[in-house]
Amino acid sequence: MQIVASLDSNYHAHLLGLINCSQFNRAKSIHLIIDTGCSNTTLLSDDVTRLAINCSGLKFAPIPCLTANGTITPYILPQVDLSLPRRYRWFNRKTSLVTLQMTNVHCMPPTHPQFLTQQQMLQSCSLLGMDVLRLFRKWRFTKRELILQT
Amino acid sequence: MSADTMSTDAVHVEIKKQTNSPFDKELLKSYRRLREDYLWIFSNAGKLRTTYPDNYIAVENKSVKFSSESMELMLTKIKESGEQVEDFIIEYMSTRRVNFLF
Repeated sequence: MQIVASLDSNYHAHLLGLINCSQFNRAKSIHLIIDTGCSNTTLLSDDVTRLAINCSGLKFAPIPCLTANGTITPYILPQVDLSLPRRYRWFNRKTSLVTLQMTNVHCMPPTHPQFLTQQQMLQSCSLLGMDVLRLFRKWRFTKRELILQT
Repeated sequence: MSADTMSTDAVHVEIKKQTNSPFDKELLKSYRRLREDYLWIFSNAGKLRTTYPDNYIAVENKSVKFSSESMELMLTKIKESGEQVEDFIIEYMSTRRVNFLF
């Protein structure tokens, strides 16, 4: 399986995927940054708001997370399907989707206008963490892409 | 359908490749449409940052349909117009060059 992420000017690797869970009636888009410093795939505050995830009924993660803003205990969104673009055949030019059925992903608290921080204002993406990235054994950088292969 | 599994202490991940089912075909069709808009934003980021500085934009069919200073306001605008949030790619057009520390 090969997944290709686009690199920005800072060489961060970006990926567009689709996310689905029991709270949604259809899959929704998600902009992910590949983050090897992130243990669990995490939906950041703006995305939790955009995706209209109701956190009130969600459990908290058993272990707190260390972030740049301090320690936080994220919510756990259970049974998530994360669909990512997979390249195949014809010199890897064709694209289909591969769906990762995950027992859970982490959710930061949804954005609240009164508690907006500068950092939150700059985020409209989420983080693809090591729970997924560990599936990929070969990593290769080109000028514009990060190619991940199982 | 081929499936592989991988689990950590807390998260179990099962990989399922796409099939020819109507659900999977619709998913791919939806993805391709959204990806067109996503790539359009990336290739026009400079211009969009100038036009919509430090604002969120909602893009559909390679055109900006809504812009707003906050995500909440953006969602309200989309819902009030009768459109569905899921049909848009929403991105924040930051005018400041930032380095990430998550």
